[in-house]
Amino acid sequence: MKARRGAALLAALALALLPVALAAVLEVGSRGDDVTAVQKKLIQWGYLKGTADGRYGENTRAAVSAFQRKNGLAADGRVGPATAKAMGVTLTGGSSVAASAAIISADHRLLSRLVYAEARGETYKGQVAVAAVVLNRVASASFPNTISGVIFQSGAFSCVSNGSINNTPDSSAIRAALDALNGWDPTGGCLYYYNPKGTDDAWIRTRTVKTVIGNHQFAV
Amino acid sequence: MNETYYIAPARTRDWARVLNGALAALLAGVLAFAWAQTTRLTEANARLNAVVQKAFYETCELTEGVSVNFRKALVAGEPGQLQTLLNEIALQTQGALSNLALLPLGQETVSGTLKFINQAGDFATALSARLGNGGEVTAEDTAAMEQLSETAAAFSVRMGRLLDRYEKGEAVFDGPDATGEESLYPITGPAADYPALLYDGPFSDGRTNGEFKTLAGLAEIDEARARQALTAFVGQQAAEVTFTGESEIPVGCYEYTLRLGAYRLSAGVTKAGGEVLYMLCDSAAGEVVLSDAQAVDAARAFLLARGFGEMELSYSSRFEGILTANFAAVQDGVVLYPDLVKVQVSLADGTVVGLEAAGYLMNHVRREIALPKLTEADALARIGGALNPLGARLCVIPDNDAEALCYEVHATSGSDTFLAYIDAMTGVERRLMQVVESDGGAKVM
Repeated sequence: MKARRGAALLAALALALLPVALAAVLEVGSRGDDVTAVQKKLIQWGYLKGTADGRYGENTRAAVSAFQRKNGLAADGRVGPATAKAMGVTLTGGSSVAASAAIISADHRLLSRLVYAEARGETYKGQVAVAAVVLNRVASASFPNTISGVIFQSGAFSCVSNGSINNTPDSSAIRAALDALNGWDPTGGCLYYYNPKGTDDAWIRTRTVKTVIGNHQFAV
Repeated sequence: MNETYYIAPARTRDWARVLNGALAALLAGVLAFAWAQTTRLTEANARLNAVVQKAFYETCELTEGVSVNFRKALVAGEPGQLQTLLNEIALQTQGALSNLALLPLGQETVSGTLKFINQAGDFATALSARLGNGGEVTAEDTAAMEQLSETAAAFSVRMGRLLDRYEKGEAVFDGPDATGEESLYPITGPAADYPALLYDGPFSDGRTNGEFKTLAGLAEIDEARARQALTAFVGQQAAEVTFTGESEIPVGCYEYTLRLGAYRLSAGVTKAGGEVLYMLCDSAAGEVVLSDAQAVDAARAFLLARGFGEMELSYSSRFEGILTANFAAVQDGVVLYPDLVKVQVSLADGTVVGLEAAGYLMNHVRREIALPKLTEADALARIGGALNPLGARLCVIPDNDAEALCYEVHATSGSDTFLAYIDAMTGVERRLMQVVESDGGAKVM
């Protein structure tokens, strides 16, 4: 009985929280029907040119800012409850932003998951470094030539064998993976890393260590 | 009297019966569960086994195919046929690589083989491209193809033997890692005597890496001077500048953490010349206030103030309140694409929070730019017929270890935008990129 009541309570709580979670503010990066509705209004009133494509980009942002200035609202370029009301648009929550919009490609997603699994407790630099090692391997002749090939190479990463690679990455891991994809490499081309306290692999210790970041030694 | 100790009262006997029944049911349940689990495990093992076998077979077949195709390439009569064979080799090596990486062999065990297969495919691609541009097969090419064919054939035979042992039930992958890998290396490794491959692909042995041309000859500074250089570079607001160690990434650096207003950064400063090699920002920026154009202006002003000179914005992208702008150096109006600096600007307040200058510090020296043999009109005439050219400008692009002077032709096809790079000396189209506009900014792919 008690357990069932607990479950009911949880369900009620979830239902109560749902509308709050969905009433997201529309901003650059938002997508969906709410964005289309806003764009249609802006086009109708001459703030925006083109077609309503449901993608909140720079042009939409500029148009929203112009609308806000004309209507005495704070011109932040975002559509919150006040701006939506002034436009006569009801935000249904049928838009996505942030985490889901943040991941830019399948490779980026996989790399973020690896960073989260392998370097969650490390500094941001340590997270970028782990992502950079994957990309250095892709560029090396001695490893597979794709991000997925490198990550899923047999025995290459413990997080693949123990399944922790399937956890959902946090925003820090997602950003670190993107910085590495954009060319940041605090390891300067390293192909290996290991935690000297956590490995008894004699072979890995024969590699030349180039830099130490947090708990990881990075080597070529 | 004693019997009362041996015969339990009726109520206890009932309990015992219930307990026995329950235990029997539990045992039956556990057995059924164990049976189901065993079946599932067997099935999972069989599936995994099938994947391993498939990878094994394909590795053997594809490397055998590489060997045969190189032998055919040696005797092919016409360039078109040769190119077809080389392209097939490139595909076969990709397949062999994917399969080899799936085998339960340690990375150290297969790295030599991966390198060999990568180079074989890379060599085939480079030679095919050279033939496509009107080049000819040289004596070195022939020697390399003979060598590659032999090595691939020998490897394929050894893998075949290993597969045979595996199929006979021998636990070829088992045993302690060290002994298992040592015993497998002679089988999976390429022939010990295969020579260094010198050709113009990215995996060539002749390719030198990590040379910082811009820093050559600069005096080495001590840590205190490096700290001063970093503080001067970041600006007045820099605080809590902390030395965290030295590194070789691959150039010798002093590593730091620091605070810049609300941002925590880490940075590396080269020992030679005290140049900032990179800066990374620990946290995402706050609310977006600036437009992309304002942030790009801030990045450009930052670079100008720090002596990077005239730079050309290549592209920019936005993520979580930080704009990443990619700049290339310019010399006499020619864009130098190898000399890249990436700058990250907080869209909350315009602070420069990130920098990536490896490309710039490796490549930025004064170039001897030869006069192009092609005119701009020649270059525009060379692009694909489906493209509608909008304009062209001269640029230098990286070409493996060398560089090539090209016309960068900006062109459209329908609603798609492309950049075609036409060699200003030979007229060869060296690269074709598509410009993809997204909410985060423009990207070239």
